[in-house]
Amino acid sequence: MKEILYNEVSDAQIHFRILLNALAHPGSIYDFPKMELTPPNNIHLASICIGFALMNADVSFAVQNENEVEIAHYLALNTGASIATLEQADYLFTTGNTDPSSITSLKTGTLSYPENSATLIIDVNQLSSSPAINALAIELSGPGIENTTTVYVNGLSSTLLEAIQEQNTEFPLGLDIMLTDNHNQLACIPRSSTIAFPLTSNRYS
Amino acid sequence: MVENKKYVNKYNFAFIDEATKKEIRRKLLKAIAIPGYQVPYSSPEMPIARGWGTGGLHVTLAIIGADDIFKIIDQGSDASVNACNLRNFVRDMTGVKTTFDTAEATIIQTRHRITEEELQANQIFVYQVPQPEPLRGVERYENKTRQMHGEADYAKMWVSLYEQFITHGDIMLGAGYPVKVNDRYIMAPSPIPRWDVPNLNHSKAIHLFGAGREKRLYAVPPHTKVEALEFEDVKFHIENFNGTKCVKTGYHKAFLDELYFDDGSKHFLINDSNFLDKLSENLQPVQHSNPYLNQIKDEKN
Amino acid sequence: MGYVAVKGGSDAIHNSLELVEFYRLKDAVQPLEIEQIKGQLRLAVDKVMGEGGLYSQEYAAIALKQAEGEVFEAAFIIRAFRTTLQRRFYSETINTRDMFVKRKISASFREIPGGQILGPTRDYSQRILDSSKAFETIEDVKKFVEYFKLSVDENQLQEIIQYGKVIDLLANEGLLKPINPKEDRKLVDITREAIKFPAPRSARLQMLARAETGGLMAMGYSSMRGFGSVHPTVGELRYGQVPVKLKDPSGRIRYIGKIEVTEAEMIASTSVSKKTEIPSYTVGYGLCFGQNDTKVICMGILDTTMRNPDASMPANDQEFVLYHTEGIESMGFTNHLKLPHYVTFQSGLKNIREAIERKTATQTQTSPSKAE
Repeated sequence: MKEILYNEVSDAQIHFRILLNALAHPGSIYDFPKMELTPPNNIHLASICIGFALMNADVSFAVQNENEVEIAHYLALNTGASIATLEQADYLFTTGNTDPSSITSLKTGTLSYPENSATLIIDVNQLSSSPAINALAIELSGPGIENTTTVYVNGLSSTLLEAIQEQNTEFPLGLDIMLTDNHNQLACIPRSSTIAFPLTSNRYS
Repeated sequence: MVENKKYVNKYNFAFIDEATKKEIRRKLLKAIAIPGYQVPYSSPEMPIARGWGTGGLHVTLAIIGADDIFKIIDQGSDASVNACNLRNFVRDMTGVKTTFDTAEATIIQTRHRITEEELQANQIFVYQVPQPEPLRGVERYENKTRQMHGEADYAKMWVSLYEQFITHGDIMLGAGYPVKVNDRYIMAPSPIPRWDVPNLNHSKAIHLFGAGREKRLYAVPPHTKVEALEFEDVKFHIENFNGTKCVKTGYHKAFLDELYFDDGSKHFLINDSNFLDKLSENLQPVQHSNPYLNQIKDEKN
Repeated sequence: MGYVAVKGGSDAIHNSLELVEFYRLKDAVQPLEIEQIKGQLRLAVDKVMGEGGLYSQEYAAIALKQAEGEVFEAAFIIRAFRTTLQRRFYSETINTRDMFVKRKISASFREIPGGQILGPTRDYSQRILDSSKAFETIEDVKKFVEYFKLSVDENQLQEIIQYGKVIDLLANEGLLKPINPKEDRKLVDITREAIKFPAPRSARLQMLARAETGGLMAMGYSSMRGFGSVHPTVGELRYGQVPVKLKDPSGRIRYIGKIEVTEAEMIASTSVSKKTEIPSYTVGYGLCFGQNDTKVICMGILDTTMRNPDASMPANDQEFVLYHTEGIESMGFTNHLKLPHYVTFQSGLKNIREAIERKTATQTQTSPSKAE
């Protein structure tokens, strides 16, 4: 369970630079390098890499996932980060179809310290820069984007994205999200982005 | 001589320990997500004195990898003593390739200038910042300025600019002119001259700011709106070098240093040493373009 | 050519470093030994440990030698060295009631449990320059140490006594202000996160503990002279060794060694509790590595002054006291003025020249008869 083929110095640095680029260019898709790691079921390799790159004993996290107990244990063992409630978590590892009601529990920071907020790492099926069937088309504008850009996401529920968007209405308070897919790709949406996407037809539940 | 193994110093790659690098990295990501907002960080001591570039170093050393190509300038010059000292330190602690060529570098650390040559999408520009708080001149207390930023209450700053105009007929701020980022945070761009400020606006590069002594990190992502503070009728303007040109190349559309020769005569020289070198060798570096620069008429020699 | 922008940086640096080494060594009859510095410049070593924030007499002595005795520079070297060390454990809280006391005095009471023990101090010496120190030989040293050892009667030695504290006496009588859990128990680590204001007491005391002695002295003195609110009494000042213990992975408490500290508990002016209207004493606390009375006394004064919300007095002002007594940061920033600032200056020059032009133009306009 404790990975030995991860280089704390060079891998963390390389992966961080990918994250920095992705967050500085919201909606753009980046590739994570292939890693010889054996994460538990139901979580993407790229999400694990994000956890390894950013987490240590100074931060906390939560997992909302069908395999959350095993994943939480794996992340805690390999990073030293502590498992916390949704209200306290600095990082939330979850999937694109998770229950949107948990979003309101997450930290969004304060006006004086907006950085005390959660970052979401969300596993989806497929990220694409061109239209795809059953993909949610998210149009983004704002810092990092020249004019606008669109990212097509398969496996992210629009109600979940709506819940996150709701938390981001009072900038600088808000949540930052990192999307990973089955092909080891990454796209990020910081709270500074303005997003537009088709809402679900049935909004009365 | 017997090797004294007890005192052999072994350093981690890039000097800083991994836990601190992670902390800086996490905070940089937050800074990118909230453009212009100052994120507090632990800012551990370095073997370089506070006020001499520890913040810039923290950022560089937290992000740098073995494949990066590193450039560092001080007041526009690669060869300046402090730039040399910091370059040696980074090189000794990472083994990365260093360069004077702006176009070749992937990470450029700077004290108080943006390069004349345009920054590209694959480049990260790291600023050494002495005073990260743009409101410090109008409010000395940190807990008050933090509140002012949180509530976007910038009245004191505007009043101060107005008072300068009333007293002197213009806004008297020189280097380090305050800017508004993403229509939200007022930010200190570090003491770069006004000449450079417009080049932050919708830049292609990532701009990261490290204030070591004051323990703050902040960032401006690429393609972000960055505007110098101005009134509708009292506008921001860059330094006026009209009537002067570089004594070596004859070029007049760059920030010029004022020099006094031994005979007391005054001359001007392009401040950005790599840009000066490239023009001197008849190379064609691509210069930053912005509305203020574009207004300067081309002079015939 | 005239003034040329600083160039040939690498060569200049190389030469300056060689020059400084030459100055350090050119008159050396014999290289200083680290043991000599540790032993005979003990208080300088203590100061460097205290301001560097790292307990190691050996490394502090090396830093002092490397810096030619410049204490700011040596403390800076130690601080930077400290950053490279991995933090493996947190120790258990050290209770200074467990101190092996070398010195213990109180100004508040004439007689205290265990008595007033002056210990090693120059407080009651006359500061007369002793030129015989220029002629000390190793034989003189050995003779004195022998004589001193002989004057200690082995039969009189007792086992280590731990002394109760003076403030415990006051606490038992109900004279001390009760502990405020929110204020006094909130623990932050200022080496891991930037200080935020208003700062909790643990952050303030940590900053004071590694602050520069001279800066603390100036601020503490200002308070006593009317620029602050506090002129306290030394409740107790102690110097001695305390044990350092930590919990091993199996949960057992282990002793790993001892360190020397100086501690002061300053009893300050009464404060009246808003709830009960009963007055009490507040205790201002000071603690640092090694032997440094001045520092802990001033720490105790400032611990108290900074709790006063009236920030019109510099010593009461948390931000003012804590930011400006931080020796490494102050030294760095004041000295950074030596760095080239010609671009910054050029930008300002343009502003002033244009302002002068504007002013003289208006003056010429409004009073043409006065114009030359």
